[in-house]
Amino acid sequence: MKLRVLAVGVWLPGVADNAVWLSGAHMDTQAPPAAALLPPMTRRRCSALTRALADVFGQVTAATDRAQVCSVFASAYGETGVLAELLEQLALGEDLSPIRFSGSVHNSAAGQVSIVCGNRALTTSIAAGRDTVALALLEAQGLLRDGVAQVAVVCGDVQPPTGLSSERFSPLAAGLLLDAAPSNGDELALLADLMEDAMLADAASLPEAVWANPCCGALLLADTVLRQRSLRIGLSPHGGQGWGVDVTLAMPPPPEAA
Amino acid sequence: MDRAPPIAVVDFAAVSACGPTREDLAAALLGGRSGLRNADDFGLPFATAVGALPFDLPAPTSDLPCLQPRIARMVAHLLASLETPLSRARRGFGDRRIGIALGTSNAGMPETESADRHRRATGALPLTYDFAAQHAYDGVVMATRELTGIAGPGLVVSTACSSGAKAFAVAERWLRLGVVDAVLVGGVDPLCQMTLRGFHGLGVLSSTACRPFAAGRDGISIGEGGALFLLQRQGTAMAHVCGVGESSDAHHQSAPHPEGEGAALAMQRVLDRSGLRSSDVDHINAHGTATPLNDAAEAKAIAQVFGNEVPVVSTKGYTGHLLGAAGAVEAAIAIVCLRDQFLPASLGAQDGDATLGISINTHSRQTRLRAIASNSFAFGGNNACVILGAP
Repeated sequence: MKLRVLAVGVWLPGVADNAVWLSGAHMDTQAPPAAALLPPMTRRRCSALTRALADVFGQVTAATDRAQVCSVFASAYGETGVLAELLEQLALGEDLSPIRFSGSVHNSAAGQVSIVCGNRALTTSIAAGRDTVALALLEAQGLLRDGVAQVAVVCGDVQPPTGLSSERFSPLAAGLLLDAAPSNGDELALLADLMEDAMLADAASLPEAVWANPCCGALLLADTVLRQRSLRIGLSPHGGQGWGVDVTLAMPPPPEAA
Repeated sequence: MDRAPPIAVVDFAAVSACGPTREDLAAALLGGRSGLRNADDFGLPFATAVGALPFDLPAPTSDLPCLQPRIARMVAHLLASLETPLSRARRGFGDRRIGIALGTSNAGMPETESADRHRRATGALPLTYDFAAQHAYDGVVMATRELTGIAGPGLVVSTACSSGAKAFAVAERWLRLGVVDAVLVGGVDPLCQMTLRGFHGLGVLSSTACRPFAAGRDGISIGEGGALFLLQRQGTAMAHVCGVGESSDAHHQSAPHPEGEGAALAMQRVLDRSGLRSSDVDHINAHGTATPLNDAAEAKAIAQVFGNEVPVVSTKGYTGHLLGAAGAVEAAIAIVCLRDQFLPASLGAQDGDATLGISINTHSRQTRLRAIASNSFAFGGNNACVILGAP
């Protein structure tokens, strides 16, 4: 079952969108994602991860009906920034902030996006450690096999609290809009079925801090599509079950016979 | 969406405040016995009731970090009841053809709370604490792999209180895609300070045992536990998963849509997906958290999709609200009810809210049950409805 990639989106600190990513002219900034999809008050209340995921959702659905699209949100560690704040409140014996508590769930971004888009379609939020990106794509494949029209897959992670984990990586979010329609040359690329034990693509060009993000595979996938390459992408670059996927460029349809 | 063929539930196990086994749960439902108790020993600055496990879980079988958390010990306890069917499935299909789809919301939070207290007191984390293997959602999948040898795809669905129900949808999709031949599916969640204090902060925690659908209902009681199911495309079935309906409220991050529109959509979608008519469903196991808002909205949704005569029960008065495990444990309850052709009383609803306009079942009774719909609703307006059918 081949999936069509209709759009991709990326966010990293200093990389607001695909164009900046492709240009390599990354800004030296730690500014949070714009997440223009969210109303300003909601945006202020949201965590860095929710903003990053909402931002990429906004990028990949810019040309589709946001009230109808199904979505898969994926993150290995989830809302760890909110976790740190709530642990601080627990330690101080304070009442937990209701906004922070309701924003601490793994599906915080999915909920905020569905609310602002008036979207009552199926949305899910998953985690699968180093296989998170691959399993998100598998969910999308299952949904498209079941007959939904389009699925937005948005993956991202922010660093766990430094007091609880020695892991260090740069935050990132990346995603795709997929459908299962026959290729007609209008898509950006095609994804083949996921495979296990895939040979990994060489991602040595990525900075170590980006490479170490559990959702790095989503960025590799977006990057491959944006650079119009046909490649086998390793989606679990740090271990996991070695899931991979073949990305092929869409071929324009043959000219009609005279 | 395309119609889904039913999936066989080959075997299942459940653990809750009602006891260590699914038969303890069945006996509590039959006898109208609540597993809820006062949370006096939880060190909380407010009164509430909890559905804590009434026994000590066995110690982990090794020092592996992923096996230490309470959630992993619950999984180990549940797997002990599923050894025979799992061995059969592993022999028949091979380890890589069996998947793991689990729902949880708290995951390793009790261990993270404890590790954080230790860090603040001593300046260092406990040597045994491992964030990736214990706090992260994936830790419970690692533990399940370690305990079973299953090597197929594995993930956690974490959509707060609909997680356990949505894990069934993942299994359904994987089986349909053909990437697996069997799935170990379910939901598990441990009690922790974060959720007790968090729900208290939201003003939705009852100070006593919860009373879903009662006129005087005043909030949730939180519980812990879980249920695991071995699902296969075919096989000798204890019950069938007829389908799962999923939807979003698109309304509010922590409050249900007041008219239950998203909830009704999930119920309608599972009917559409399974090919069942509303009249084929003989009983609704409601989300029924006992907050004034949830129960009122859910009643409207049920009446809209199923009418006002189908018997409705919330079993949260027995187990408490198991959050990410609620959909799994309530699916186990549905299977027990289908097996025993038995409708439990909605515990705490004797003082029923007559304004709700649905038929709350307040007395247990034997009755013919062909299919049961089980509702789970969550933060983010995330809704799921699972229909289980008699074999």
